[in-house]
Amino acid sequence: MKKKRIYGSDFVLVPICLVFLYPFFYMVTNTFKSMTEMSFNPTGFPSSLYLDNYAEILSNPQIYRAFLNTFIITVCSVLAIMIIGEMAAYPIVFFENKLNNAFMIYLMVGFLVPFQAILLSLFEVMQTLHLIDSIPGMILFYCNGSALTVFLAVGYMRTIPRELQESAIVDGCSIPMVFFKIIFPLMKPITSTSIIFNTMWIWNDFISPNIFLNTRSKGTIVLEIFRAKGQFSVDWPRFMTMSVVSILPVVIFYLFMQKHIIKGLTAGAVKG
Amino acid sequence: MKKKFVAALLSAGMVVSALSGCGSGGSDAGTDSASDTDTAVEEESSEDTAETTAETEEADSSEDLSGTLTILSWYNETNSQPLLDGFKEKYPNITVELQYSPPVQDYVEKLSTMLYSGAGPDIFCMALENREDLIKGNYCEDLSNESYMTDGTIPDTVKETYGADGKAYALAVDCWAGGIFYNIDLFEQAGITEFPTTWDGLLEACQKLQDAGIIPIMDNMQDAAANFTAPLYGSEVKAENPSVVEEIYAGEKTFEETWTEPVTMWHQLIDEGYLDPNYLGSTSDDIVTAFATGQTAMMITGSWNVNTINSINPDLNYKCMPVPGTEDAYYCGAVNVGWCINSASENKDLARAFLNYCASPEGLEAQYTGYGGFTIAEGYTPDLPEQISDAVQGVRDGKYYIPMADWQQYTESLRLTYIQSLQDCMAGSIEPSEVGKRMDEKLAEVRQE
Amino acid sequence: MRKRKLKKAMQYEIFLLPAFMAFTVFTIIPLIKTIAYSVTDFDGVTREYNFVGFRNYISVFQDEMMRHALFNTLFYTLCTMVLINLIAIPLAVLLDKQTRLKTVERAVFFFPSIVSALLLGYIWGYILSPMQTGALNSILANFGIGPIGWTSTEWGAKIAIILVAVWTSTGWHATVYLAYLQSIPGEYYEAAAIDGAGKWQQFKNITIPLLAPGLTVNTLLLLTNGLKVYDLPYALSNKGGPGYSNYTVTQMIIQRGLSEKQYGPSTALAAIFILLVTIIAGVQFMTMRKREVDIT
Repeated sequence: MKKKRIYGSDFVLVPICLVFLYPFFYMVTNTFKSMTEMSFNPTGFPSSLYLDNYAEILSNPQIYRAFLNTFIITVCSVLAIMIIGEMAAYPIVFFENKLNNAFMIYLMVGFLVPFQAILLSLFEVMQTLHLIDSIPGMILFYCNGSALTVFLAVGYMRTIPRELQESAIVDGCSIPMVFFKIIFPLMKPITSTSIIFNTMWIWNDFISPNIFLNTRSKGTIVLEIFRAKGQFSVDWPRFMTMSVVSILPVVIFYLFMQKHIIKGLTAGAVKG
Repeated sequence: MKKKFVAALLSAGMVVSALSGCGSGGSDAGTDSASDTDTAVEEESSEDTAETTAETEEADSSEDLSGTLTILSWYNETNSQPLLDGFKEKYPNITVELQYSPPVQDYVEKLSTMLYSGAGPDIFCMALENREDLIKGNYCEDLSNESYMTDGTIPDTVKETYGADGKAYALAVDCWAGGIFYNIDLFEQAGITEFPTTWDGLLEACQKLQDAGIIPIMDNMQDAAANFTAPLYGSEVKAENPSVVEEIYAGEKTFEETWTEPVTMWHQLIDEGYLDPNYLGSTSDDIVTAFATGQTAMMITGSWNVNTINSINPDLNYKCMPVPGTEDAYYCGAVNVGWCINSASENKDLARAFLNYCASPEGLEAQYTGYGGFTIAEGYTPDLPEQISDAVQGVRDGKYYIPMADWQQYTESLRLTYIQSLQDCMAGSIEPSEVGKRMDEKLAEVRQE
Repeated sequence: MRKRKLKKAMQYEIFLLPAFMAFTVFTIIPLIKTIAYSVTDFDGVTREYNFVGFRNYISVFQDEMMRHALFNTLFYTLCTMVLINLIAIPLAVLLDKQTRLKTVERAVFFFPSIVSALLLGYIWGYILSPMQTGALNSILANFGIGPIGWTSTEWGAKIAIILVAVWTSTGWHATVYLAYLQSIPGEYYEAAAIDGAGKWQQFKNITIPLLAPGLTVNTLLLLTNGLKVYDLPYALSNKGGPGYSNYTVTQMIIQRGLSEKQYGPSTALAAIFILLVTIIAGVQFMTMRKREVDIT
């Protein structure tokens, strides 16, 4: 009964939705056109189901390699950031002292530094450590992006009752054990928030892989898009096909995580 | 026996990597050719064991050289494939790792970051925009004693362009040429039978095209190498005073004095409404597509777009013409980028082998096939597409101008200022005289550093 | 006793170590090096450099292009911050209401923010292309309008960049607000309704104050992301065109440092910019926090 009703807000939201979706509609319809068709009919529906663009893009082995690389980099970095970030929050919340407060300021300063501003020096540091053009190097580099996670985790951890931790210590649990056995599992909502934040950032990052990963076989999917822009310069449909293919995994991830997003944000950010 | 075993192992390894390369079952030309060479390797090396004594010195060394060679290329993988395939055939034991960065600015930025921090590739490209820094930073090996430089394979212009103090730093084998690409059918439709030979004639032709309802010219001023002002500077300024740029650097003349005339001439196209500033928001690719599909009668670009135009519209009836000035008409054009060997490379022998291959007739042909530049080195003569043949001849005759070749110092700073000021001028935010003025200011500013 | 205390401290502080290491190596050390370079005549090519004092800093302020890039970044940040917040709050309120297609609608608005900004910049570039074949122009052509050069002028491109940024991120920030809205207990509204408060009064007196922490979070994120912006203007406006008119600070730093080899002025701009960002973010954070405290 209730489901059948159409509410007033729908009249406002649905039209805005359509405007929001238009660029994606434009992108997807054009993947089914040949270059000639698109130049005569850029905005309409395709006249027939033309699949050559997909066949071409999907038969390029490089795209699978790029997906694999992006996947490895994103998963490893996101996990590392999550663990490092939440670990750092632990002493800040449960062992307040001047050192830890200073560390928060230290993090804040770093959080505000735009990566581009320190590029050449950063490149030198990475080179000294032999981290250029290496996937593990890329992952280590992303670990410095944990500041936001630390802030979120600190906010959330403050809501965990101190007695919980104190009683565990009285029961003979060591300090590190308390974190891994008791605190960390309680952080689930904020953990999922931070996973979402960081996945979106790292999966879509352009500038750092562009600078640190030189060999094509180590490159990420965003680099392939950038390359496609140059290579298929005049072949828009092929570029759009490349784009559609490249965002599919994120769409799947998003559909999968969607209900956790609001939940995570409610639990985390609200209290933070 | 041992050699054979190694070869078998190697090719097994390659097959595995070729297989893993196509992961989910896809197979394309790249993978196919990789496995082709695998079998070739095997056959060749098994023959070699018997024939070693009979081999010539060259082939001997090609068998001995092995290792990995890294290249940062200005051309993408597809275009580089013919050269890499040819090299692989000759030096089966050298693995080439090609990295690509799009020209110009991205390439220059990427290479300088890599070189400065010591992560430079074994071979990289020297362009007009980065030659000063590469030479100043001692990043390149001196190539002047290499055989291709001494035996006349490489013309002197290359040594002058990419050299200093009698040393040659880069091996460039080809050039590009460009000018006004015009659609012959559209010209006829507007009643123009012959391409204008004077600037005023060009303006008249534009008017006729416009009257016939045809967009005369599209240009977005993104390219400092192929545009109207550079050839005009050549025919109006440089032709009268060949040493004008040296005088500017010496402080006797200014950019403002010399650039205002060509920029003002070009600006007439905008004032008269033949060139719409709206195209500033377009990409160069938009314009090529528009030209190829007959939406505009003219555009100005270089030979690298010939293949693109032909692939979009094989039936297009067009030709490349020089930019007419008051007296003479000049083309756009320049020597293409050249290969350099990193002076800090640990694989100099391999890098030398690569450059030797590039200068050999097969290498020249492979580069022509892949990159499409017009070979100027001795040993291979390409068949020029008819649309561009006049332009190439014009460049050979020296009837071309490219500012970056003249700007021996602070090239990239000046280039960026030049191109961005032209865009600002086209958008109407600055006067034509200010283009040169900004370049003067830039020169003063970078000199102070 | 002292020893035991120290041991306890150690057990805690060890948790800071990984984050501290990553941060020091990849942010703080390069930052210090950058600042050190900014007072030298280092050019990124030759390895020799000399101390030149504050000359580079003076040249930043004398350079019109650098000032313009600073203006562009600040303008972008301000506009996106204001516009996105203004649209995201009502959007969140609408999304919080009972609707027919709740899940779909929420998903749609969030969607643009999960796609790479570089890609979106290119796609919008196609849509706003000044050519007859650009999507928007070909739609307008049906009504006999155009073709219009949307991104061909400085302000055209600027407005396009900001609007696309709004399109990209509004859904994401609305989702943050939505999260806060959902944490407001329904009883508040019921109680207010019993007291005779109208819808607008409920919105003003309950919703807005309870959204204040959300405003802090969103504004801080918009501020820091806005000041760091690079991909979108680069992809959408032909690398910051026309001319210099839409360069961002970050793009300027890279171009000056790496392409033009003016490493000194480039790092000086970076140092000034970092200082500016820190001050703006600090002030913003303090005032927002203070206001939140005042409200509650």
